[in-house]
Amino acid sequence: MHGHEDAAIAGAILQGDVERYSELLEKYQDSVYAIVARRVPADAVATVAQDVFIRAYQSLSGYSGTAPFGNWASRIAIRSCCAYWREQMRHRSRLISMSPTPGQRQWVEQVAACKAPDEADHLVKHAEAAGIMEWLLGQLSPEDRTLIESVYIDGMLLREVAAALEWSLIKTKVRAMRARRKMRQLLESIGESL
Amino acid sequence: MKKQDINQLEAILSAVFRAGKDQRPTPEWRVGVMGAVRRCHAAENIAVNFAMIPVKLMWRLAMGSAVAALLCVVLYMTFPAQKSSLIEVPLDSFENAVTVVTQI
Repeated sequence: MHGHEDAAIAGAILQGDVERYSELLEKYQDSVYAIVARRVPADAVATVAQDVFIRAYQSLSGYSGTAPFGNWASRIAIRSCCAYWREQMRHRSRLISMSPTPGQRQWVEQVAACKAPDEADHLVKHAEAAGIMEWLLGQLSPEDRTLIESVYIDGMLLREVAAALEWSLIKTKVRAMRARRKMRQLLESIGESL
Repeated sequence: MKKQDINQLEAILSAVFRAGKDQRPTPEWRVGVMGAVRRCHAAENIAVNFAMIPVKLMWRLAMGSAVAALLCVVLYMTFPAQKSSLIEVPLDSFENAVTVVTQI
């Protein structure tokens, strides 16, 4: 039902009624914004989310109308976030440091010292935890970062991520497994260096 | 580091990453997006107009040239070479055609 409604709106926009784009924006801004907010730094969310809707407008003729506009826009959002990290890596403006800070190492040590999962609950709120996660993701390629964020953090299905990144399912599975293994090895290396 | 420690770390880090990332779009942001979309739309229209004008003009020029060429060929074939009345040199049939046209 949503797909048909969205297709009708998209058709009207393509005919020149650009103001109707606000209907699609209103309907899907929250979901697209949330996807972007989980993947890029807070200060870049508004810009990247705006970029997603502009890209969606520019390639609206490619929207088939079989699924809701939001599904199609969320794929653009994932690709835009990946492009954001690729751009950051190219300009080296937001490079993550090559090794964790002493505070972050200490945090890992504290977690490792906890015997039961409940004991580590209070450590979740530490700033070091977010720093470690950023550091780990920063060691991955932009594509692997997007994949890990989508599958292991966002809880998306592998086939959904494969469709968004325009990869085969096999390639997505293999890359997800390798990226996760790399992150585990990095965590282990911090643990060993303590 | 044991495997269960790593698992625990993974779980904590996933929870950390999800936390505090629930930003919502503001009305100002929405106005900004619609403004950008309108600018894109306007730019597309300008691009289309710029592209269309030379194409139309070039088509008209091409059609005009084709008609003129056809007319020349018809005249060339209709009027054979004749002697000029001024000089004793036979005129080229094209010159002849031009002379006839100017006389008309």
